[in-house]
Amino acid sequence: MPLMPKRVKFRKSMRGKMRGNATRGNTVAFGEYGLMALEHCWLPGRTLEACRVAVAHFLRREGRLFIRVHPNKPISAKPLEVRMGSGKGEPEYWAAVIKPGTILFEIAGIDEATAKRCLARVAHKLPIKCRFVTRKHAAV
Amino acid sequence: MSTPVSIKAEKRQALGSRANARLRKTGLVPAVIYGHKQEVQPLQLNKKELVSHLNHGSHVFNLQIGDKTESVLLKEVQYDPFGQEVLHVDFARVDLNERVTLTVAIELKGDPKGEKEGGVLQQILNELEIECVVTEIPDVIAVDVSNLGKDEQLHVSDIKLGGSIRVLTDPDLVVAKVEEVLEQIETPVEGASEPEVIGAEKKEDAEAASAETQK
Repeated sequence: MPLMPKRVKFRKSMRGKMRGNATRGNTVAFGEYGLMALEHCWLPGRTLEACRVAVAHFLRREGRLFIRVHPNKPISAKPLEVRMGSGKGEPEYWAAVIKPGTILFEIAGIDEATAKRCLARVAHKLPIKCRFVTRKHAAV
Repeated sequence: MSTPVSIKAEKRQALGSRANARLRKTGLVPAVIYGHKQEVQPLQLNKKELVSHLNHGSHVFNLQIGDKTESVLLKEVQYDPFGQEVLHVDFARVDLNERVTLTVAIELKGDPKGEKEGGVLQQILNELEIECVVTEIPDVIAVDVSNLGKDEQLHVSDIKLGGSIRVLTDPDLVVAKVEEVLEQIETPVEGASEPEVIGAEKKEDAEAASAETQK
């Protein structure tokens, strides 16, 4: 079951823009290592689920995964072979709006080499370029 | 202990964001030094040299500005949105016998015995606020977790620091714990292909009521 909100105020939303870099959620906050997005995209809930499964299979109950983004934007689409007009299409899937710099996943409880290999598998499932990052401490 | 690291710096004449952007392209980092009721002095440092010291967790520096040397404490480092490039550094003038308050990173050492019992080590607190003499500032606070069993926690009060170091962080806070991570099994809820719309029911009720009154 892909991730999606439990309750929403409106069924459909406008497309919006994805300008600029992430100013929030751009630091490794929970785990030791993370995967940072370097491009912007709409990340569907089913992609996040595929990433979660990939990590679960790789870690085999070791370590801990934190998913830092949530698909809270409804993406609507018109059915095939339908003429334009007649209102907005029905919600097709839910997506997270990703901006460059967003930390998508974090991992804790495993060594750096294993975390790197694990997050490389995750990066293969994503439609954007990503970077492996480690936590930054204190003032530095 | 953090021994002061010597690093060369030059006075910076050109100020402003555009001048600083040009400076960064030449491999230098803009910095500023302030404190002790003296003048604020804009500086420029070699980026490569500075980053290597930052990666080692150095806090205290001896800045060689021309023929003058000043002892300074690292106050703030600004990074780009991706957290990779150093954009600017703040230094505060300090006396080496002065007591200062700062945050230092916690580094967990050893493999906890609880991991062999199926637990996963989780670090909850990553930095500690301490007060100490400038010459006694540790680069990192190394904490041994090898005796931590499954479902056990390590608190701030368990960390023993020598010398004049005083911990300011709440002693009851958990630094690390070893616990079993239970995999969340999400069961699909019936009819949950779409989220509930807040206020949708009220609207339907109101419409039904208005239809009845019209009749």
